[in-house]
Amino acid sequence: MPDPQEFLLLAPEILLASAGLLLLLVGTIGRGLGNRHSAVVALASLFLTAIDLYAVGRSVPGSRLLFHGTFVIDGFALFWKSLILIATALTILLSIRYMEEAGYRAGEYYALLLLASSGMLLMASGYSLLTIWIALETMALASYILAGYFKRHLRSNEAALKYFILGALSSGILLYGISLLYGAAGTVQLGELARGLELARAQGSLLVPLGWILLSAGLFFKVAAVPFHIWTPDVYVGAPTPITAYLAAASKAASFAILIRIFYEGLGTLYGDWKWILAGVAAASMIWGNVAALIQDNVKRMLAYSSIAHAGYVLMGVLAASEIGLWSVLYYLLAYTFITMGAFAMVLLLERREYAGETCADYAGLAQRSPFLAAMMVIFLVALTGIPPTGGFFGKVYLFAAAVQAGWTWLAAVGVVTSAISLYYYFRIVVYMYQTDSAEATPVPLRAPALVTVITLCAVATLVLGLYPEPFIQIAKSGLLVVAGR
Amino acid sequence: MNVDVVVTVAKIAVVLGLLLQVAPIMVWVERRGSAMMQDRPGPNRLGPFGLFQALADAVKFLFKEDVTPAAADKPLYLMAPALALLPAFTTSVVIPWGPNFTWDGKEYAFTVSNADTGVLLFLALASLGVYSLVMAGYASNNKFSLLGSIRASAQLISYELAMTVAVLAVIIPVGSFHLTDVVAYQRTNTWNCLLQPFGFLVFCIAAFAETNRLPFDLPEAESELVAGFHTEYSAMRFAAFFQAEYTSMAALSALGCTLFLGGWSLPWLNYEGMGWLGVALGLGTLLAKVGVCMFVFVWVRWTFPRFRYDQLMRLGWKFLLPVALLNLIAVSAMTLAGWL
Amino acid sequence: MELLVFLIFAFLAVAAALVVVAHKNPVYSTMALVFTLFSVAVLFILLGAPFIGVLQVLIYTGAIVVLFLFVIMLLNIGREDSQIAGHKAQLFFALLGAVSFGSLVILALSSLRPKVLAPLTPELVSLKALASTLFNEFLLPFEIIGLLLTVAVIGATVAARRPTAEESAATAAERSIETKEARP
Repeated sequence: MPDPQEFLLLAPEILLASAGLLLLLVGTIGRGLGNRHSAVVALASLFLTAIDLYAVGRSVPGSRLLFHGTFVIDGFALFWKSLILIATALTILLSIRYMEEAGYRAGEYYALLLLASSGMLLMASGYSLLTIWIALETMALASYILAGYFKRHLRSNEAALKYFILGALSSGILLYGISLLYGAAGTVQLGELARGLELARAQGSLLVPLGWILLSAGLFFKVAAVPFHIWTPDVYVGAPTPITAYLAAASKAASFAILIRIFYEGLGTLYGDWKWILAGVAAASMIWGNVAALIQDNVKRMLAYSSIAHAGYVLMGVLAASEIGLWSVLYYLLAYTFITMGAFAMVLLLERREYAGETCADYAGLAQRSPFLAAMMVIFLVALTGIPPTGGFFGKVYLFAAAVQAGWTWLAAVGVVTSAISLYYYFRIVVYMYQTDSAEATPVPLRAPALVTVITLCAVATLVLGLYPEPFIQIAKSGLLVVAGR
Repeated sequence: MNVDVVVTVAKIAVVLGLLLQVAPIMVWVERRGSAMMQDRPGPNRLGPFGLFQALADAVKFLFKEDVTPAAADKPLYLMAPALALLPAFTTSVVIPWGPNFTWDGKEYAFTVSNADTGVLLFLALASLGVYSLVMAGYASNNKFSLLGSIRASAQLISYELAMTVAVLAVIIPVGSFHLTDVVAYQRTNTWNCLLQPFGFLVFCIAAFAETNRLPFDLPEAESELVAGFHTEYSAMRFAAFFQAEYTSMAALSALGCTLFLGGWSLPWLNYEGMGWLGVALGLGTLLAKVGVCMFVFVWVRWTFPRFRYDQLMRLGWKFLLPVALLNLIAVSAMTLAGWL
Repeated sequence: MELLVFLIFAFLAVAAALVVVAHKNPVYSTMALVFTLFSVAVLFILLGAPFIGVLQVLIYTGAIVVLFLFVIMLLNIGREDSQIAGHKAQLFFALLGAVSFGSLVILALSSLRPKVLAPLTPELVSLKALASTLFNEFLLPFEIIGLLLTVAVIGATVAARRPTAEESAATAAERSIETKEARP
């Protein structure tokens, strides 16, 4: 038996999952909790989890393997976990008003959010392919349901169905890859896997390349990288907007956490093999994501393609496999979480019943109707493009620098060119907001305090990350990993 | 020739021979028993107490025309009755029918298969029984039949779950899936029906549902569905369903007796030192217990009315399963504490 | 003897799997799936893993496929009109998938040489060893599976549950707004 003490270090995950189950349980008593109360309970449990996480981080200096090496607590895991908790809290703030107007039962919604997040926390700490896969499935199953939570809306149904079918397929591929790697190396524990795979590769085992190719295909699906991105636009458009934000921020962060951990610690000894595939996928994602976003008229759809492109930028940093590459990835995703949350919060605020208000034309004249919101939107769009003085700028600069330093100059060039392309579609919205006259003259009421808070918070965070990045770089540097075998 | 093979073949012959007798006897018991409970004579013309009635029935089944509906799905229609017999006869391979015996200086357990997976094998094979019902109902191309098989698929799943959990609760204190070990455990302690009354209750109720017997015979509820999944069947194919039902009742009774009622053993009696006589006595004891159970099946059938479908589902999911799970947790805790 | 059993059930597994994919009647496909899973269970037993084999029958053949059948029959899904013939692209990708998967299998089989896994011994596949591995080495994944299944059950319930009174009211309200908006 593992040491019972080890379960204490699992407390954040246990706490969050129990909070989700508690919300469900309370929902069965009488009429259950209302929307607002459920949200408050969920936020409180996230806060407690964060405190707990801090305590765990304090009690484990350096890194520590738990449960026979299937679970790890290190700076890397703690970084992602904090990021996931922040993204989840922001999602809940986005949801309050939205759920009220949509008229769906809220208890299960928040419960599923918490359960999905507990799956993500486990993903960030998974140190065995088995743990990672099961945690990933926990997150994915909850996400499928959340994407289809608006059952009366056909687009929500479509999103859930597409997400579920493609997600299940990709999970199958992922698992098949894992099973082949297990056959080759005789273990699923990442540390031993790196050594086992090196040995098997030296013996000329063809299971090794087969295994990691299938494994990485599954991972690319989860981070929405080309050519496994096909689900992204439809799911992002159809899912309830807070869930879209959640998928774009939290789910993507957790997926990158496992991608980086698997590639660095599990497949690190095969760096020479996988770097080319990763480079190809990164380039394809940057190009296709930005080009396809050019012709989108729906803002949610455009943001979906932009998130594909951003996955490409991040993969470039992963590819660098250096210290600067890794911390720039962490820094970038930290900034991206705030930017994307803020952008989706704007979409949410302007959205009216049944997905109206999502096209670029709906942003026409926003500067007259609400100068404040227009200014906020400009900040987010500027940050997404990667222009100073925002967090997006430094993120991109560090990523490009890391790529150049690691000898991937052509990839960095692709990144710079595609960033320039992205200027077009991001600034199309700015042009609409400031130069076109509004069809309706009524000012946008700032009636949802939680939403406006989120927007302001995200905008401030985006600016602070851009103006004073030093402490955040320090935070990102606390979560470094070493590539196995290098 | 290999002695092991001979012994195995002999064991199969004995068990199969016993099981084949179940259906004719039970038809007689059912008819005479129902008559007794309804205060009427029942079939009493052929032979002493009408015992030969079963023979006459068998002859009738053999010579009746075997009708296949024109719109039926032929391959599935013809396969279904055969598939019904398969789990009914194969499940009992794991039942220990008596104490171990020695032949040619070697000790053998009186079970056809002494596999490690023991009782799980029983449950696995028994779970295949639903396919014949579903197949028959679907292939008949008859609305009543289809309704019957839809009911069967949902019902059998629901009760199988509760039954499996109840069986696992017996396995936990024993620490082995071998049914011989379960019997040995009950000989050193006491019968499991006393140790785990709730598990026994759940098992009994689920056993009725698993064999489609009243009050759970919704797949063939004659008042609503004519004869449910086997409406269209006639002659020997119909008889095969009949045979399968009685045989699985017997197999499930044997399992229930082995798990909860001490199996082939009786308290304060030791058959093991008696050689072949002990084996015969053990077999007789188990058969007597199974006989009692079979009579209870008949007794219940002619005593209780049928459940409504929603009541059946509610009972299965909201009562039996929670009770079975609580029982499992309680038994596990008590086993950990060393009380069992 | 063992080889004969293997050949019979391996053939049955593959043939039935082909029927699952190719048959136009979903009920036949499901029944063929039963045969596939059962044959694979027999292969497990031949490989010296009787516990996995029996569990395969108990869980997949005996429970999950029954639910498939239940749903198929309840929804009364009829014979599917041959879709493959209609879509050339689909056929192309199906063939492409088959070819690439086939080459994957051949590649994988051709490189089974390195024996990194210890050979299976009766002690290694005994129930006790299995339980001890599950509750020591893989305790955490095992526990998370509990969470996973809970999430799955909750998700299925949420997806399938009837709308509450408020939700029905919201639907009605939306409908009335829609009709009002439709009018000029």
